[in-house]
Amino acid sequence: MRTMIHHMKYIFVGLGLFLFTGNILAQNEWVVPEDKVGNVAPFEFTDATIKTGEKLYNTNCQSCHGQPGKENYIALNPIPGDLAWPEVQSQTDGELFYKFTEGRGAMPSFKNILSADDRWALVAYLRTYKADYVQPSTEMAKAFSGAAVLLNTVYDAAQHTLKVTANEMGDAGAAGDPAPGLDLALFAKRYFGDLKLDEEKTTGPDGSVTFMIPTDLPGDTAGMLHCFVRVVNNDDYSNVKEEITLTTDQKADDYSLTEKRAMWGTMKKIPIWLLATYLVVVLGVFGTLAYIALMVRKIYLAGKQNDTN
Amino acid sequence: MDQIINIKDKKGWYSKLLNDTARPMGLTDSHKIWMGVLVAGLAITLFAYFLQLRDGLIVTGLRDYVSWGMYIANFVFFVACSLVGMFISAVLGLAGAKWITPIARLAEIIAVAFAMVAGLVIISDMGRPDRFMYLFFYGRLQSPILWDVTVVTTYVIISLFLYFIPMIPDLAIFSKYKTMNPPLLNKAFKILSLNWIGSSEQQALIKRSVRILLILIVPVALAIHTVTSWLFAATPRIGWDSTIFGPYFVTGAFVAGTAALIIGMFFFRNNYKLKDHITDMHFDKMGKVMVLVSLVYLYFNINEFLVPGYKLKLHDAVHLHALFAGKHALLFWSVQLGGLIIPLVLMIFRRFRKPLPMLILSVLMLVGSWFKRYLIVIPTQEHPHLPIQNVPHEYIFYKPTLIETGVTLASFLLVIVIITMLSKFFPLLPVYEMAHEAGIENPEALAEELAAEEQSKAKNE
Repeated sequence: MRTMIHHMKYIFVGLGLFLFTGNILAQNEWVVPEDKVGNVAPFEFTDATIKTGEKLYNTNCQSCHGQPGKENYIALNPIPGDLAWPEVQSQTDGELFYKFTEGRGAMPSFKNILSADDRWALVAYLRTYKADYVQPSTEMAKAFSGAAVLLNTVYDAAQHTLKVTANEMGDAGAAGDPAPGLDLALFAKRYFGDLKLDEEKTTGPDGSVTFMIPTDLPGDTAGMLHCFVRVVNNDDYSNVKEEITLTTDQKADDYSLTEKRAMWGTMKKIPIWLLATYLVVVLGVFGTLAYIALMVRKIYLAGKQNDTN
Repeated sequence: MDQIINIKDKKGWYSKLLNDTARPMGLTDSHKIWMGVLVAGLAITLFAYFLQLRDGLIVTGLRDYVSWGMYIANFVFFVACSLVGMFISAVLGLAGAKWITPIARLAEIIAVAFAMVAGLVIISDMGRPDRFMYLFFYGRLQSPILWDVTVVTTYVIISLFLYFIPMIPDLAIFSKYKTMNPPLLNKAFKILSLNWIGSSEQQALIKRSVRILLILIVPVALAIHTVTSWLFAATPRIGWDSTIFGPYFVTGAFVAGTAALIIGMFFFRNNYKLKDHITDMHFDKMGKVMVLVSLVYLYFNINEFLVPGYKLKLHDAVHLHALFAGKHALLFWSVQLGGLIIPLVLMIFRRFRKPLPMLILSVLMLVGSWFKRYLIVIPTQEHPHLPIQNVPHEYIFYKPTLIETGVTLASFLLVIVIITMLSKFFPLLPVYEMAHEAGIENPEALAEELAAEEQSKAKNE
């Protein structure tokens, strides 16, 4: 009986461990929603696309994932992995696109950082590491394609508002009927990715939304704020983008911290007092040592003189 | 002033001094064996460095968190030991202590050896030593590193001057006094003695230059260890971010250097049979000096830990806990008690200031000093203000590897080789100075007289 209980204990512990590890495994699996798995790029991958993708990869992905195929990703836990690995390449274009878009854990979401086209360009670049890759037909995507939406912006500098009107594309590129139900987001271009301003807004029956522009946001050195409006709820329109430059009262401080001489500057920009201190001390000490060397020479000469005498 | 010898028989005493100093000089069988052992050891340990050169720093325990390990701790230790040259010759010498004369040159030898190798230790910590010159092409004076390179180099040069200039008359004396093995040594002595004849002009020149050097070396020596401490203190890291790091390092250096000198004194006194010149009195005095410098160092230690320990700011608490009761506690308390407090207390008593107990206590203090540098350099890096996320466990904690230990050992062997060479091929005791202090007017002439007497004695026999 006793041994029975003993065995039972092990069984329970074993069972617990099994469930526990199962749980971890489940957590590690990154499941892509079924309707996204089959998504394909709305355009054909060309050399230009691949090149764009490579550039984007180098600036956005390489710092963690390393160069594809070289397994020089950084040592994080869990490991970021090499994107040329078969377990990555065996996924569908749609799965990769979804993962770039959403991100998970330490991997950031690129939804707001890269446009859908850019994310597809990344897929195009990574597929160069799959020997037998054939791009799935873009037919399906093409059916939805097109800049079928026209965005129009009106900036009210006094009220600090930006009114955006969305219209369906009419004949010959003219604005057609208002496009309601589109989610629009406003971004300001910044050094490190785009900064979302205000909230995402859904166009009303007249196809328009109004964004509030923050008053304390610095523009560039001339006070200009470079913004764009994008459709965010529909990937098929994500390349529909309207750029606009706003004037603000806030001019960027163009004072560069490395412009003047400073402790953090390069050697060429060393503070004068520091250089002077160094030179005075070093010249002083080595001058004294030179004087000592001269005295040593004098010892030698004095002995020589006496010798000849 | 303490009189070293009761000089009734000045000539007899001087003759013994010359003989005792000349006896170990030059090549001997035991020296060859000793050098053979050292060179073999160097060959093995330098192979470890070859492995590091070939495979890179990955063969060491250094990783993203602890990027300064045993090498930098060892560098700080070497710089510390080298300070003894300044301490004995300049601090005690300028203060008028005459008893230091017989050990001043040994102190200078230790200083030169440690300071020279300290520069190499830094190179062993470099992942790309072939880019060493970049330090001079692209180095910034705004960084303490370049200042450290400057002061260490300057200190080596001044120490070499301080080693060489007072030795000029000795070289002149020994070039004539005895035929060395190999005789080439006599020739070398003659050239290096720079026509020394002991004229009053020459005497004045030597006196003046040594005096200038002794004054000059004080700020330079203080600077080398202060700047070394700035390599740490100029960062905002826990355990390094301290305003007293400069004096803390300098006083620690006096302890380490004094310990190294006492060990050297014991070694040379026994192996070179210099008991009549490096006497019990010297050990007694050095013991008192050691008590003084250790007390000052202990005072800085208390400051360094008590103040942050009282305030216990969040990050300091993590660090201090690791030292006092955590992972480094055993080493910390061994170093503080066994390497500082216990030897310090024992040295207060006269009976422990005899040569053998002094040797044992000094070894404890020197070993303690090495591990103290280890405790200053490594634990801080295990607690960064901005930890790296999701980093593998083995990247956080540092454990030196065998190869790293081998390379560190190589630096010690190199120091011993330099000390051996300098003490073996050049007079270890400053006979000229000692003779002058004993009241012998013209040591050069008396040495020649003694040499002639010996020759005639040998002929008669």
